Amino acid sequence: MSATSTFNPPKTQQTPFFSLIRWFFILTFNFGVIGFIYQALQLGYMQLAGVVTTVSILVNVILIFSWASPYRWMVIGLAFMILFTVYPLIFTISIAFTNYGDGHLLSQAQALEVIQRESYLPKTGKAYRWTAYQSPDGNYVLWLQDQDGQSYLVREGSAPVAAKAGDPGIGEADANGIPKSIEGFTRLNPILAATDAKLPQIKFGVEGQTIQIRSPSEAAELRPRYVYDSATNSLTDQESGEIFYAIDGTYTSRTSGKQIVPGYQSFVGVRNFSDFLQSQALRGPLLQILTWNIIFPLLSVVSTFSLGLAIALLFNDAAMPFKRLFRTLLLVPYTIPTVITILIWRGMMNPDLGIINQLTRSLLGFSPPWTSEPIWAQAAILLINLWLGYPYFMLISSGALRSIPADLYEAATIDGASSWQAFRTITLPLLLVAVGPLLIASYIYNFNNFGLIYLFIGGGPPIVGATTQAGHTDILISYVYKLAFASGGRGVQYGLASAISIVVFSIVATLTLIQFRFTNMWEEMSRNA
Amino acid sequence: MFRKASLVLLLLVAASLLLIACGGGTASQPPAETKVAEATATPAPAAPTATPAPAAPTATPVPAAPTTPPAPAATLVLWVDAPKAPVFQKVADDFLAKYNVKIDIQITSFGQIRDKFQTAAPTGEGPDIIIVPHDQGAVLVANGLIAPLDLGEQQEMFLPSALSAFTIDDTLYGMPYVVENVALFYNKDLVTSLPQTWDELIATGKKLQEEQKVSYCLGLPDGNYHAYALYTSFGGYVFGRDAQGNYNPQDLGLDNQGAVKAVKFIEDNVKNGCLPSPLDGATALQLFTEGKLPFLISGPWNLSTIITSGVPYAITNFPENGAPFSGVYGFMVNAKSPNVLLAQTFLTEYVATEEVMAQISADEMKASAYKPIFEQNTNADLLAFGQAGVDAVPMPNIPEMGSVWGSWGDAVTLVVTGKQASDVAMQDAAKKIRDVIANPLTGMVNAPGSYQAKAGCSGDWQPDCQATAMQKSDDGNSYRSGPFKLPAGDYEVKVALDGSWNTNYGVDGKAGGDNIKFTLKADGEVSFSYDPATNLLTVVTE
Repeated sequence: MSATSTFNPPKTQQTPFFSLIRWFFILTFNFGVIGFIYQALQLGYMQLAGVVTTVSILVNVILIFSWASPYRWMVIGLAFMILFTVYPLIFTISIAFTNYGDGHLLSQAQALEVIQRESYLPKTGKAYRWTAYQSPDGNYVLWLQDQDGQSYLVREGSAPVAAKAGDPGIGEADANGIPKSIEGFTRLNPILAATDAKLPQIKFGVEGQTIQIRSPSEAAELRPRYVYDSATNSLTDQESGEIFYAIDGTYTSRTSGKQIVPGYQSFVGVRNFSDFLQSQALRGPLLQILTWNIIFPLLSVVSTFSLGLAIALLFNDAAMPFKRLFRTLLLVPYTIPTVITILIWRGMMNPDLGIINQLTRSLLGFSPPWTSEPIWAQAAILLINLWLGYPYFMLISSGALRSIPADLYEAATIDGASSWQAFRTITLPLLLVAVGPLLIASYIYNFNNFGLIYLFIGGGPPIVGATTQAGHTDILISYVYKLAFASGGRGVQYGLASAISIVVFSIVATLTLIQFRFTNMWEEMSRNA
Repeated sequence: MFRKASLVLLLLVAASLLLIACGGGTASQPPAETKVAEATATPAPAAPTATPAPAAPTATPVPAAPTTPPAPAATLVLWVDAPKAPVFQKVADDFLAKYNVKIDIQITSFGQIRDKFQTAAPTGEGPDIIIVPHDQGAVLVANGLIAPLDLGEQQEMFLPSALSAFTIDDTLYGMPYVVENVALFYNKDLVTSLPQTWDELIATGKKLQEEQKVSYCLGLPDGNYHAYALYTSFGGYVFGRDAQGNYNPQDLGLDNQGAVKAVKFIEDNVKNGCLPSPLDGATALQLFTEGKLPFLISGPWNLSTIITSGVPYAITNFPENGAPFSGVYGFMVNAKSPNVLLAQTFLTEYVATEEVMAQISADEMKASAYKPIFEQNTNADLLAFGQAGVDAVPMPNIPEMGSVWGSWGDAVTLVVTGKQASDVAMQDAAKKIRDVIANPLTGMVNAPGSYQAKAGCSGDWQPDCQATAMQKSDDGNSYRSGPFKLPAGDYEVKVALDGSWNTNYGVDGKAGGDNIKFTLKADGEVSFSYDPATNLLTVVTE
């Protein structure tokens, strides 16, 4: 496929059949998308609906208009990039300025609905035990029994009438004093009555003194507890008269400080950021954690790259027998899921029962305290990461080594260079040009390598005398996680989490920018070379 | 080309209209759902709790019930984790046969029930009923997703401790069905006389260890959940309780003498090789089933493994009245379910009967939370678990509990590895936990009011807005804030302490009093000063 053909689309090239397929595809796509957007809007996911609309318009434009057709080979990539990268970014940033989290999970409308569903029994109100009777045409009457043993019959729209079993039209009483039948109606057992979802909504009795079923055992003269005033966005408690104003997503009384559960999601400005900056997290051994956070990825990258390169050099030697077999075997760590690898290593490094420790004990008479001594724990982390990371650099390096022209080495040999000199002056500089950016990518990945740190021993061993819960192998992200979530004290707070991830992101971004400077340096070096 | 585009557009519009028209049928359902369930409410104090006539079981179908149609009259969706699913499938089958109401059992993995429910329930997609441990249920209640449950006369049929685990702010939100707690397993071949104290237990184990019959004296799985009985027998605790039995997060008992003594006990016995460190639950269980451990602290969830292993075991109480944590499992009803009444009726009229409760308790091998079954229980293991858990404390269901585990565990690790003395470690841990729990705004004095948005806050009436926080004056006798530049107008203000409305003062320094009013005739500056001795707020307008 040549690039020129897409820029000058020949008008008659598409057969009618092909064109039909294309329009059919576009229509099916749009049909599906519209259905999805409609659903999303119904469920109140405005942002998602907006993003999907944008993406689908983009896709349509690219597929329909010929001037946009060069992009058609990228359309899937673009769509997925927007949906899975740009949208989560926007979502995270917008969440960071809200109080979204436990206690503030619902939208305001949903929270109001829950709150307004609450009812109370006024002091003068009465509560009864109920039994429902249904007529063939679906109407109900209730047989009510109050605390004093009085019984009543109540219909929709008329006040309760005192009645006894055995009265005209009312059948005999059973063991509980409830009539077995009422003329024109059939007695329902409680479960059968409850299968009609409309029954609890029916207001029996007369206006102002209506009786509703509130639970399987009780029907009562209920009133809604809260009345909402949309002008002031406040709720008034009908029982106590207390007014609850919306303050940061919680209806709060300004007199007693009482709050109505649940709260709702609301915009809180930079509160999450200021909370984080004032939190205990920053008063802990932050410097120590940051130091380890910078050293750990550095050592990881150096060690994985060195080992990977060493193996690649070994395999680059044509004389090596069984090359393929060994190369395949060495790739194995790369193919096993990281989570499993880490857990297996944790087991192997168990001080009492782990295979590594049993081995060292029998061979050296010494069992490394991987989980309790800081320096050993850090060594363990680096060791596991070396195991996880070297195959990657082995692959990359062996590819890059092939691209170094052999004549350079020939020239070096003629000039009398030792193999070490050749490696230092030819292999390494040329290799770094190709591998440099990947080293940086690896550094950044390990900077936030939460999985490894958390799965091994959760950042432990603990730092003695620290003012917060912190461990010697904790990196920034695992430390913050422990403070904000595992031990947040106030449940899960997505808003705070988003704010923290933005802060951590800005740290990583700064580091990346600084390091891109170094990459530029390398590139210039290679250009000058 | 544009002609083509307009054709597509036209088709699109037609297609979307068609789709919306079709969708309308199904879409009309959610609005109907939202209206339901008004009948659920917090039981008012005046509600009658019992009728004079003793209640006969109402679950027996009344003979006059009309003949049931073949299709189920209604469907309830129940979320449960895989191991419990067969138990409830049986219940569901019987219920369908008896009442023609289908219970749709949907398997959701245990760790995910809470998260998935939180995602599904607000949109009206969630199940009608979920089964959760009580400490997880508390969060769902705080998020407004659970309908209150009125058990009526059935209330007296449940263990009060189990009910209290599902009671939040005096309202019941769940129906408990089984209670679980750890107890002390021992190997009957190895242990001939039961230890009365923890020291005796260690002495027994030590002797066996010296005879090389066992690897360790006691199987104490990792983490403080299993060790809690040890703490309580020495007088330690996590959170104290107030008069109503609610947990008080301000009363932390992890650095008291008892707790320190418990940690010291663990330390000493790790040092003399009696306790392994650290030991995960699976290894401990394996050693016990192989007869390599004389004692093991474990719960009913390991009972079947131990029974199948054939190891001669028995279950007993903890020495020195040690009280473990207890977990209560119960049903909760989705507040947004269209069938709240039916779900409640299913629970109170069908599940809360001796027959069903006996069945669930037996199938799950856990002690029933339903008194009649709990009392007539004849299974020796369950009885022993019940005995060991007589004084068990429900795992605190307050969110602050989340702050405890990490620092507590760290402290024990530091002590066991010899890095810190037990008393220092526990004091450090307690301090960390108190720091996290404490309100970060404690000590803040603020003058929230209708001027705040104009003074740099994100809105009015915010007691925790930093922009209007008052500073202590140099002499320390008053607090001041301002001056704030405000436009002309009428304003209202109050004083609030600690960044919340819990303590606030109004006109005449009255707690919870009326708003203090002030007027600016022209644009100008306003300062506030507050006297903590009289609680009076002075407004100085320029």
